[in-house]
Amino acid sequence: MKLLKYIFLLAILNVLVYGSNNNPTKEEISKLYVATFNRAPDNAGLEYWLNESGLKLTEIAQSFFVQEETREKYPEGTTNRSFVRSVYLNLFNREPDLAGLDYWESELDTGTLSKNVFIQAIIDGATDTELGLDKTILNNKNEIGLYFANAGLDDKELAIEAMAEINSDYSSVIFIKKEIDSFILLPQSEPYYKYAWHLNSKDSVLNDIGYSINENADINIESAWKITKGAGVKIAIIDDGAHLNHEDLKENIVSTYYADEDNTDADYIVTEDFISSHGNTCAGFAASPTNGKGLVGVAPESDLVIIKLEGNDDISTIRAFNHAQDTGAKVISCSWGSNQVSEVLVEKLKELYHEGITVLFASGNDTMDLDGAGLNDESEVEWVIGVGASSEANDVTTYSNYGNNIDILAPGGDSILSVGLLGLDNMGAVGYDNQLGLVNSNYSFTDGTSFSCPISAGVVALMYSVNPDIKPNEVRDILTSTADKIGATTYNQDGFDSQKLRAYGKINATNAVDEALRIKK
Amino acid sequence: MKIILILNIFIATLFANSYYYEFGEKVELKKLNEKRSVNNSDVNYYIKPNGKKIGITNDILVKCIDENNCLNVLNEYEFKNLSKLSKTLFRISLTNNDNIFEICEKLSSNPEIKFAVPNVIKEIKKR
Repeated sequence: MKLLKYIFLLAILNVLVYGSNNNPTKEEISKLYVATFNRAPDNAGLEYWLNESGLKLTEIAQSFFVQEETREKYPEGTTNRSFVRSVYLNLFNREPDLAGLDYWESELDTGTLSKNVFIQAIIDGATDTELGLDKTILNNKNEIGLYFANAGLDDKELAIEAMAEINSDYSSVIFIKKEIDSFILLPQSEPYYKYAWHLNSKDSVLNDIGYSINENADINIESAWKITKGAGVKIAIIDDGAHLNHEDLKENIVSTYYADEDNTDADYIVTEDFISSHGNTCAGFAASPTNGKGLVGVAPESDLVIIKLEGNDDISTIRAFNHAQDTGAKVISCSWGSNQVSEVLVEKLKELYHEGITVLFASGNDTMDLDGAGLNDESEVEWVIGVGASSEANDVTTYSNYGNNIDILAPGGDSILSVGLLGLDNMGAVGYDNQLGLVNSNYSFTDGTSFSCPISAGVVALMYSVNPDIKPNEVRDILTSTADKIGATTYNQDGFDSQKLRAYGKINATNAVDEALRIKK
Repeated sequence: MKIILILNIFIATLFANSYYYEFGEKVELKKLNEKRSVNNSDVNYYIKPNGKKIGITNDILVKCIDENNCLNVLNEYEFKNLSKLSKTLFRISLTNNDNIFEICEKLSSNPEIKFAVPNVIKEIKKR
């Protein structure tokens, strides 16, 4: 017992001298997380304690005890004996020996020692003995803790799961690392996924900060992702170019083209009074990759063909579609329109349709009935899928154009009534500044049918991924027949909104992918 | 009565020879006093009857009834600058001195040609 006390006293002395004078390391903070919470540190928390808090190690340990998480884990009335046992179990997967338990309980009960110093002393004193392989287990746990945090993960429940399986056998570390690797590749782990209500409205944190998001406003994507994430399909985005080095785009871009000049320079437009980011945003909604940064697209494993179209003449427009066709794009997303489509373009769209390529056009943002006299919009053409915008309230937005030839709604957001959609902005300082204090300047909140269109294009890419032989007419039939009927309205026998505003309803990704798979020959 | 007649003549003068056929309908244009040059080729600007402004380059885009025979049909006109724009569309590039509307009309009257329209520049809005 005397020897034990001597070891403990040395450990305490070490904590008091070293822990209160030196800046903490990642490893030391990670061990505190293990001891106190029995979980890996979340990336944001670790970064805060390490780089922002300005606290010494013992101060950090002390601060842990005023955290909500600590109060939940050790509620008022928790005895020191119980606390000591928990810390041992957290760190070493074992109960303390009776002598040690009595000693620490006594020290804590008499106030000789504070809990934060006790924890640090236990960590520093960890050794492998006949009682248990404490040092080995702690090292293994710490390795997983750092691996988890360094992967940029912040989910605390996952952090607990990651730690629960770790023991003295290093194979447990290898196994959990693989689990973390596979989780990192999930779209849901992207840092700003929590704001992407169009992908998951039920778990959106936006409701917690004053924005009203209907729990069914999303496109029901997560079950579809269990089947496909769009691999093997190329989506062409015909727009104003894109920031080709954007952190959340570049990995998926396989081809670029500037239709007006017939070259490959599709970088975004910067003039004295104008900086474009529209194409970035569109491309991101369709196929931003799962890469641990920002957002994720509907089809994160699809390839992107970025086509810049600036001049707006028929020849350049045809060239743009030709390039999409030549590069093997199966889906073409167009978030623009003129209300006066040319016969030449209609002819090209017909050609693409018969070549098995699905083209989608945004319906526009003027609350306009496109069936009105004198209007002949691209989104109404027989050979394309016309897309309107649904809102955070899971209904048509206040601005979406509509008509008998519009096929489907997809989330476009409604900034006037709520928050809009979170999308890609330009990288760095240029671009829009609608970050709402929630995201960095590479992203911003926005709205429009422009973004409903690439979201739908992403869903179509998922469909092609599971059934490459599907024809554009089948794509349309599936999208319209599997859509969610939303809003306070009635739908006619064909499934079309009797008020015309909502077309055949809102796109449902899982239903569409399931049906595309079902009809596979 | 005289005033109406003068007005009619005035309007007819404005739209004289500035038209083409699209979707089987005549699109009459009012020429604007606005022109720019792109790669030594003129772009002239017009107002359509619906009030929308368009630009027209020195190019005609053609679709034939039988796309497999289109090159033969167009070769009869001996255009100096004829190229294929896509699987079903041909492009004829004219000079600044050619009357694009007259040539469009001539081509459109050929029963083997489905349509012959100028290359139009128009306002495209992002959405």
